[in-house]
Amino acid sequence: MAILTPGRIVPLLALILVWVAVYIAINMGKEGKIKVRRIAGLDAIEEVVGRSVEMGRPVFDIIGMGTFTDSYATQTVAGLSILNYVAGLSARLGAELIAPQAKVDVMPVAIELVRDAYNVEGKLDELNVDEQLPYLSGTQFAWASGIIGMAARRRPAGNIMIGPFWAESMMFAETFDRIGAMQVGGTARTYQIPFFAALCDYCLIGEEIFAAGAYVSGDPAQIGTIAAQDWYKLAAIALSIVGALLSTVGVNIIAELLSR
Amino acid sequence: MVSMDPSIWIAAFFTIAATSYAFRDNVVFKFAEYTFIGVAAGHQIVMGIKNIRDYGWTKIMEGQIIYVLVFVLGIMLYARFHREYYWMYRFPIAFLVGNGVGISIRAAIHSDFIVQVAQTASTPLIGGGAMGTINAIITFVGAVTAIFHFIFTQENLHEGTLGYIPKIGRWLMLLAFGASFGNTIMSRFGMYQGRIIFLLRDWLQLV
Repeated sequence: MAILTPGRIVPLLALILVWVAVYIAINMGKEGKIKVRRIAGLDAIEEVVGRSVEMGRPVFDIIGMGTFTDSYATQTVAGLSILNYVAGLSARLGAELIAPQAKVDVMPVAIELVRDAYNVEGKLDELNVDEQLPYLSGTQFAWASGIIGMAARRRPAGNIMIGPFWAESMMFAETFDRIGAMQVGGTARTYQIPFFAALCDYCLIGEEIFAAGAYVSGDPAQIGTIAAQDWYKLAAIALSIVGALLSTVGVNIIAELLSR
Repeated sequence: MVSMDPSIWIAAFFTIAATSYAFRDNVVFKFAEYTFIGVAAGHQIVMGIKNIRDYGWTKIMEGQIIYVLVFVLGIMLYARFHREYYWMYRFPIAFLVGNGVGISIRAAIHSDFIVQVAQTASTPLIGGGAMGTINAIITFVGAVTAIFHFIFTQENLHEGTLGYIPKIGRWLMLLAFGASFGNTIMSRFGMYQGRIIFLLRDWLQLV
């Protein structure tokens, strides 16, 4: 059996280069050499929490129903970073945060992050985990109906949805829009972005949620991986432009090289 | 003649109960909501026990002792409820996360990067008639400018004249989202029509 299988050589090289790039970028992040640009939707999060305080109504933060073991784990991590940020803001400004949970492996991490944020603000005694981070269901539409019901009864002033979302995204966005909540939505699930774009006041598109998560967390590892991804994106742009131009004159060398 | 099948009546009741939320929150919707959550929890527990039996216990009974590891890791998950042995809970979580990431990373590099770049790079910008050329140019400009939009650590690429490139990408993406939104709304209407047909045909038997 050959060690290098045709069709997998380039993916292997790309994987090795990713490791190297991420390692270098994380070190650069630790040295403070990398800055992530501010994303418009992030400023709105503070506005959402502030609005909740002014109106005396809760703010919802929904991180989606992804887990740490599926291919959407990175989106879940981004959602958790934002939850930590929202929890800190809520504790500082005095808003009631409600973050319904769907996944048993993510829930303890979410609780710890919220607890940590309240602790940093010296408001740990104001946190009621059972009331504020209730487990609803791990089944998609049971979870969705639970959140819709909670939203109808609690009438939150704001809603932040960042993480992986599926068909429930439109139900949430529509429900919270109908009760007049200010919304910030963001997901990297391509089919769900249109609902957030149409119904949320601010929308984080695709990979913006990773950058947002890295930005608010300040974690050099997350910031470093964003930088490494950017290098790959620049390489993708360069390869696409050169490849398309060459392909136009009948030379298909880039695609052939990438298929090895 | 109305259906006499109790399961049809239950399905019809919950269809109407769920739809009643469109008017406002009410006691019938609450009943449907709590029933759904309760049933889902019960179903999850049963499926969990079934999985333990089918993928763990049965294998051990067949002599595949390695499956004891599954039980050990599963029991370690409960350590998070113990103040002293809390740390043990991290091992199965690390195993789960590492396993998931390991499986997905190769596919991600291959399908999300190499295949996408190869597709864009292999499409001639001119050819296939006027419409083919326009299509190829829109696809190429859309791909390149959209990637440009998602560069977060090179702020200079979003300023000055270069700043128009990510803006073009954003507008093209919004156009694509509009098309996707319309498509999904149509399919959701189709699903709702299915429920209406169920009520009229299977329950009330009017059509």
